[in-house]
Amino acid sequence: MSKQKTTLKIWVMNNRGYDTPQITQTEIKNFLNAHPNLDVEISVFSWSQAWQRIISAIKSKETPDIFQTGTGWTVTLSTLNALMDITDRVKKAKIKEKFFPASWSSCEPKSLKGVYAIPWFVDIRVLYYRKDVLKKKGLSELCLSTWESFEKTCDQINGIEIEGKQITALRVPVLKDQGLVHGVAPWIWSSGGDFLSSDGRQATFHKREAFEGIRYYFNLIQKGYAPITGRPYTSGMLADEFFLNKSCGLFFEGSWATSVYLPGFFDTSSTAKESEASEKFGIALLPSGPAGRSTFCGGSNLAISNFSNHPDEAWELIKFFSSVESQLRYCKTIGMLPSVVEALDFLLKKDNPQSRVLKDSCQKFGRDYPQVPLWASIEMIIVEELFNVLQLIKSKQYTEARLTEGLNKAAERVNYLLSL
Amino acid sequence: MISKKGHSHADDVKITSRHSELLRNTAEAFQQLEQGMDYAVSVGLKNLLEDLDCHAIHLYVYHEITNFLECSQAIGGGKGIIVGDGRMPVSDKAEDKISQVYLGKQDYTLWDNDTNICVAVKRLQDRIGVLVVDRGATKRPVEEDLARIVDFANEFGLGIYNFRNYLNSERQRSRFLTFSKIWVAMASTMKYEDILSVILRSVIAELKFDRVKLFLVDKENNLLVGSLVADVRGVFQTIEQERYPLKEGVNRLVDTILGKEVPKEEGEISKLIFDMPLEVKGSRIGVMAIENIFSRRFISLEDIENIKIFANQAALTIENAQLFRKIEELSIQDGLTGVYVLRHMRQRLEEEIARADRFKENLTLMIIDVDDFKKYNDTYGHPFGDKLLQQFAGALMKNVRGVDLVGRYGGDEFLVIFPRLSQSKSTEVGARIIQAIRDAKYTIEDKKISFTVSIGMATFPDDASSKESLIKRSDEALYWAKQHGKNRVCLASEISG
Repeated sequence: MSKQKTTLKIWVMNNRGYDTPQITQTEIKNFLNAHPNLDVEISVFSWSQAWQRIISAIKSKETPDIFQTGTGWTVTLSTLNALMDITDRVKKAKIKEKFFPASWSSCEPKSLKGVYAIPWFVDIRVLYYRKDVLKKKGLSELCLSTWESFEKTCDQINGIEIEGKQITALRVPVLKDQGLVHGVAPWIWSSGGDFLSSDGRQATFHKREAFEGIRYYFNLIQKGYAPITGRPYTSGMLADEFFLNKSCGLFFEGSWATSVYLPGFFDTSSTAKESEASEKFGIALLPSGPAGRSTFCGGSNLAISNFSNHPDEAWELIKFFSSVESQLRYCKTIGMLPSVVEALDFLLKKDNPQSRVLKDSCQKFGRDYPQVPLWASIEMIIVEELFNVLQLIKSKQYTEARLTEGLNKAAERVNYLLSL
Repeated sequence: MISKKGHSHADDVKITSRHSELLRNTAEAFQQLEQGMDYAVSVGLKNLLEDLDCHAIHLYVYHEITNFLECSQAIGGGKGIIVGDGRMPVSDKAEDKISQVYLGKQDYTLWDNDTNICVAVKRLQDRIGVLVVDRGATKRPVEEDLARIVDFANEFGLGIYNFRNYLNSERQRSRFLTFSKIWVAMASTMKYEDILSVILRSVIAELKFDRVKLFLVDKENNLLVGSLVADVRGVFQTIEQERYPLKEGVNRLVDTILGKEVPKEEGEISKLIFDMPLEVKGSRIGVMAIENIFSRRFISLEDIENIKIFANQAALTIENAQLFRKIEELSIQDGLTGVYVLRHMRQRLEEEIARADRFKENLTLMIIDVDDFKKYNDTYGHPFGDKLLQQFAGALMKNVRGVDLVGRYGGDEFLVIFPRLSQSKSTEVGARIIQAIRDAKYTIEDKKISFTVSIGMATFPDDASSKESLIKRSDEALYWAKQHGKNRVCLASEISG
């Protein structure tokens, strides 16, 4: 009699721009070919719904075997006892060294002493720019390299007309969601600040260094370099504004936009040619601030549920996803960057400035949010405050004193939360 | 009706029939309740995308707790699901056209040269959300697309409405089961500590909150005293150190007990915290501080309703358990000294040994008596001896920890159970008690006296593995201490077993 198949359940999130169920199914077929006694059942959720779905599943202990988790979620889910401690498995498989540090940090949160996930893919924030805009003002990419020169560039290109269309220098996220935190984070870090103290017990985003970063960011908006009026744009719509509608000259976005809007960028075949779009759009590192250069390195991890009845099989699937071959196939298809160094090097092997920017952003300048269990709630308070600041700018009531007052209040609220 | 401008009649018939087919297919997807609402929505969006061949479609659904239209799903031309994660606040402002559509103040809105259309998703008077369609570079007349979108919006409205009803009835069913489980658990014991444990564990396991702290009113001392905390990580511990005077303004918990207005936390964080007073016959006996600060799941009106039902029963159960404990205490207390009677001590010793065994911990038993007690009885009479025993018991109670249990073995002999006290620490504890009792001054019937005690101690599992043998080994150690000069501690391990 043939042995009954074991079915693994995996929950993943949709990747913007792609048919995730189909793509994931195809990738998993490669795994199933080598594991004929297994079946994999995939459920796909949108990012906005996934968190609550996962939380409900954990609370009712009816979870899949494997979760895809946002890098900022892993520590909270581990704290909630939802994720299996895989420290021993990781040691035995000797795979930690395969990943670059910024992608690994959320899998092994300092506060928890253990490994709870494996990096899957990475989304790094970079600066996209229009070559024609810089050219019109006789500027090179160098004008984007420091805070000072970046602001000067914004000033120079804001309001210029190209092909009969007046553009703004920048577009920034204005919706009341975590896009606002992604927006300010690199500036906070580049000025030497952080969101929380190193022990994770106190808010520090209102302290001098972090404040300078936030002030710089909002000054750009207040000076009119980035419009906040008009209809609210989701992250995908903002990218459309930059790449398709060409309504602005500069744009901060995750590296996912590279493959969506610069088709063929990740084509590693020898016959690959630069796409037309690649000639029009450039990719730069985020500007360097008083404390150097930093950018937000997000993405997704894979973790085994603590309630899984098939942890060994789940571990096999996770290991498969971290193989160089799978990383290359999957990341190329969904437009994300691999978390495995060898795959990342291969994907970005072209010797061009854009590839170098993506690689350096991941390996030298990428960092993640504080790995504390309450981050999800802390982030909510920060989002509220950043949104308030945007409203002040919108209603022309913004002053530095109001910014200080608002950040201090938000810090008090975060400290209260941390004291509970 | 779909406008037929710009198409041949044959085209129109084909398009209309395909449109109807896609609508029907969407309706069927919404009937497959077991597949979940996400599935039906994604089918519906794919169908609408095919019908319009447009650039992108976003479905925003209204969330009452946040007052936002949250992007539920989105789909883009030819690329499958693109999923926007955006959200928009709902406002009354006339310039916020999308809100106006959602609120029913206008049927639809158009912008960017009619490339974008927003249509309400509703079911009769029930407003659900909006569909936002980016038509891209289409040349079709806007009226035609609008009619098609409205058809789909109606299908979404009906489908989501039905789904919600279905989920609601499922929730009611599960709520009934949850409360049945909780009531059974609460009725399974009258022991105070167990009741508190059942209550807190129910809040976490059955009502699905992240963390709950229980505080109870100590009327005698006019305090609000921390009792226990439990959380979803499995933490379960006492919070006796959290004590607050019952005075207005001390903190939000005290103000809740006093019935004062409690200022809410600012912003959305206030939706993660809820303080539920425990009330019996109009009097507040405690408060449960409930938090969802890890999961960031907002506490909904339904949650609050559940907590209220739960809290009413919990308060009554706690009060009954408190009364039961009082009665039990009276029957297990020694009438003369106030410490536990031997029967209760035997029972507790058995429980504590079982617990120590389960958690691989130590436990030490002490037998202690007053040296030459008979002399006091013979010299000053039995009433004097009784008072001496009262003062001795009081002194003994003062010199042990809150978790230690003191009882009367008989005559002037007393027992003390020390949970988690190892053999190596026993001498130190015994010596401290001997010194404290010897150094104290006692006044009985105007006579100032002092006395000494002798102690025998045995530790589980090092010296004995059962209740009886532990008592026996302690007794032997006491005997040895008496034989070797009194006023001293002897451990069972120091004498041959």
